[in-house]
Amino acid sequence: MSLQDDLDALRDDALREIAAADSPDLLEAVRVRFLGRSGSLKDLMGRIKEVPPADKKVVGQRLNAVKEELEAAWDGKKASLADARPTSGPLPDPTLPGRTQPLGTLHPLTQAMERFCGIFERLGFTIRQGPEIEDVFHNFDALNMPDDHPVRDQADTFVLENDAILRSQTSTVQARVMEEHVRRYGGGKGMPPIRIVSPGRTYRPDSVDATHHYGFSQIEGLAVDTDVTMADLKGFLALFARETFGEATKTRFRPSFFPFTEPSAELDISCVFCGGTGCRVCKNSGWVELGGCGMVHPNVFDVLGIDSELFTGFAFGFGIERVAMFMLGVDDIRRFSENDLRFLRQF
Amino acid sequence: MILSYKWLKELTGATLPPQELADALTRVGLNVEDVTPATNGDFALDADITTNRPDWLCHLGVAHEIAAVFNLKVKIPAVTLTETGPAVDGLSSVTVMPGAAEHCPRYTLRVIRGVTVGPSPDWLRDRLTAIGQRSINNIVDITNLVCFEMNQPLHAFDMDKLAENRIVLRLARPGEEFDAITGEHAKLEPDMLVIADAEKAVALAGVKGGQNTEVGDGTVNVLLESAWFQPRSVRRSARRTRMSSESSYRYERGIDPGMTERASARAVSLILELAGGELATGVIDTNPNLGSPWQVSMRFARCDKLLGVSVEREEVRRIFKGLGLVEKRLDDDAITVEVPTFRQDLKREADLIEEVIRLAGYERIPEKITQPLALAHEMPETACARSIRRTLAGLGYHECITDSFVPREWAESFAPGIESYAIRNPINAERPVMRATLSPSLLEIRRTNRLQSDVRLFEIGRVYLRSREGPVEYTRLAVLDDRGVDYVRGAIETVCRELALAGEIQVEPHDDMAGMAAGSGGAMKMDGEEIAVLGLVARDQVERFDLTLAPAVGEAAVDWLAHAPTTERRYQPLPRFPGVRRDVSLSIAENVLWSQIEAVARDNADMLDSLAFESLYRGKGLKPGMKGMAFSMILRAPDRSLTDAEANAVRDTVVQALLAAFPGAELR
Repeated sequence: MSLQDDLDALRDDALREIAAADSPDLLEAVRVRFLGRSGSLKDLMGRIKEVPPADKKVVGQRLNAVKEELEAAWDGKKASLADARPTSGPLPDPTLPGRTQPLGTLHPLTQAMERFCGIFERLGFTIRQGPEIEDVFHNFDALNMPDDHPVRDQADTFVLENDAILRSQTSTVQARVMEEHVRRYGGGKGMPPIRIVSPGRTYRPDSVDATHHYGFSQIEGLAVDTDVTMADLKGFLALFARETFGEATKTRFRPSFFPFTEPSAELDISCVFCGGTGCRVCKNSGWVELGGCGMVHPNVFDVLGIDSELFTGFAFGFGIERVAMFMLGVDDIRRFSENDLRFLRQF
Repeated sequence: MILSYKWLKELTGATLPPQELADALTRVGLNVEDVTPATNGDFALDADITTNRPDWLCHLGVAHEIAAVFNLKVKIPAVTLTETGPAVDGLSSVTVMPGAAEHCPRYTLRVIRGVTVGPSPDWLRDRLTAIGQRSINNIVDITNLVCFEMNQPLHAFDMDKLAENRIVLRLARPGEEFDAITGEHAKLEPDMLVIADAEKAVALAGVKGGQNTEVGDGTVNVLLESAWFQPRSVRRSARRTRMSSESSYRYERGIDPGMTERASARAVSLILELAGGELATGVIDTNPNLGSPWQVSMRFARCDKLLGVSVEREEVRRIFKGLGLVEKRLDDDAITVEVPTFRQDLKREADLIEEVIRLAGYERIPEKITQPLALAHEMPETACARSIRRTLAGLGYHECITDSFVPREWAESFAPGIESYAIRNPINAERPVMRATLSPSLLEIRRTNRLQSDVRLFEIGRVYLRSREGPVEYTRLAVLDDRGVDYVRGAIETVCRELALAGEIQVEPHDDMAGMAAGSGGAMKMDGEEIAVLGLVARDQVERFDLTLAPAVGEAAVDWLAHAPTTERRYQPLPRFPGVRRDVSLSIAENVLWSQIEAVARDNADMLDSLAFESLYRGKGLKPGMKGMAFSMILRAPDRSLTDAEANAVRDTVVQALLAAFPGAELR
């Protein structure tokens, strides 16, 4: 018989016996007989000398292919024997719950804040903090809110003593960062750009109900450079909105008024619940108000000593609780300060 | 502010349906929040008017805006003055006392004699009803109508009730009191401007008229006031007397100084028409020249640069014209306009730029970032707080965010000797002070979760303290754990390890820590610096917070952790030879602390790789006053495997040292 025929016969025998072996010992015996150091496959490989030189290559390849096939079959059988259920002892139950250490949770407001801050950080905004106990200058005067003007009505404050009040908006950090910048670099030619976001707690003497709390958080952004435009503002906020609420989110500016920006705008996003067709959440308008923004008012630059002819800037801000409530479907702002574990564990 | 749809339509000839008109106004910044049907086919537009646009607090002002948006022409209401009476200055006079002029830069009065006070005609009543105003009588209704039409508060006095029929502008006298037309009573202060007659105050300037000179059924002769009061003066008077009115609301925001006389003429014309009478000739006017227009320039390039979009100069000119800004000069690169006096908000170039884009449409601004890439830095306090949160959430702690305002007693119990900041105008009387410590806040949250077991909480928040330089705020970490002090310590140590702090942590027992059970407290120190305190909550506090068990709490100084020296993590070659473990179990006096045992063991263990506390035992098999303590040591030589004999020898040395150091100690 030719080497070829012998090889085919060996292959068939070996595969049959591998399949038939039903214990590791039997399987091992099959391996020794066919694939072992002095097994029959080895014998056939020794007979390659008989093959005419012209066929040697083909036959050699064939030998190797059979060897690999048998080894794979043997390995597969070995694994399946190892996996076999034990025939005695308790049965495993793979549907039992997994075992783990319980994880804690971050407060939903922290999660929202981190998400918003993270997006702005990726866009090059550095997180900056400032004091919550403020003076009247940083909370009002530096933000173009003069004494005895009705703009201050919108921002009634808690008073501690003398000049100390609790900040009514995180825009105070804007004022402080610009002030520090001017102290360091001067407010004229050569002043490096500013790009910051300031998350933090703010206070207004509002009575507590389902949508109001006297202590709440805001995030505020500021960019100042020699040629910051309102198109930049729109661009950054559109990126933010799409990253936060989904690629399909549209943004819109509506004229508005804030003392520290001119022009000022309200930022609306297309309603994430109905996609803009109108629903209960957006009161059928298709839009949801996110926050305020605008170009830094030249009066603000003037007060803080930044050359308002040379520099332009934008600022924006919004309330974290309101957006978090909207995103998470929370119906009462008091849930956030209650810290009921049954609530916290949901996020 | 309620706007009448019909009224606006009359003034502009606009033909849009109410909702479309509302939407168009909202698009230019006059935010109409609601449109509801009113009487006689009218609609009420409920508008939220921002403080920069007092000119929108009247129908004529809104009509100007509608005209600008839709390129319409405003129909100014007709004024017909027939002055048939004697000269006004023979009938009355205005005396401006020292100091009064700065509060009232312009005061005008007219006199109409022989009027018939009575109900208003239907059209006037309907008009007022549509905007939510009550009809009183024809004279008062006319002053109200003109106020909502032209934004000029007017006041009609019953002239015969004015002593000597004349007006005196003066500051309030010390102790002077005032009864308003609405029945309110106010004590006046000497820097408030009053309108007086020869004897008494008859109005609190710009805020309210007085009861004593009210126009009523018996009124025959009317003195009509139209004035321009200083906004801050009116604001102060209104706030301090806690009286406010449609009038003070408008004066505070700043009304058109050019409207004073025109509005008076409009009202008088209506009075003659609806109430009859004879108009005295002339007007008394203390300052006819108040309120001249001013000029503002805008560079086209600056406009484009600020907006990030180019608006054609012809379009700019058209927008300004529609808004009533009179073009005074036009150059290649800039335009100068004269601003009418009702636009007090247009003072600088940026204000004009806003007008351009407001009318051109904000949608014209592209979403186009031209700013260069910038690297955001992570400030140490940000990085530290993030690391702490990650670590503690990983260890099973739930983050809380609690109120900065707390009950006074909390501070007294947990931070005695620290004077907390009190809030002058607290909204919640039970929480009148700023917190000086975080721990009680977590105890309160523990109470909220009374029915839960194995509770682990943390908060990163600020405390507010006094210093000689003023208020200081520190960021603290508070940790609460039902399982005990050692877990709180472990949590804080893990936080420090994750922060890669360079220093070694030691805990110094602290017998008498505020709010903590005696002997349970300790101060965690790093290189001599106190970084945290911890302990088991004292019994009385457990009761105050209505808890069923005493949780352990700890509070750490995050500002310190954020700036503490860190070790740079560097590769250590892995040991080539295995370590050998030896355990020691001792029976030792109760008063010996683990830290003492550890110190002796470390000093005496040769080739010590690491040493770990294993267990604490109290109970059977121990003599009274003794406890069991066990620890393990891993011993290792750098150059060979240790033999059993070598390891035993080290262990024996350590044991001997311990027995010698702590009398009464025995091997268990």
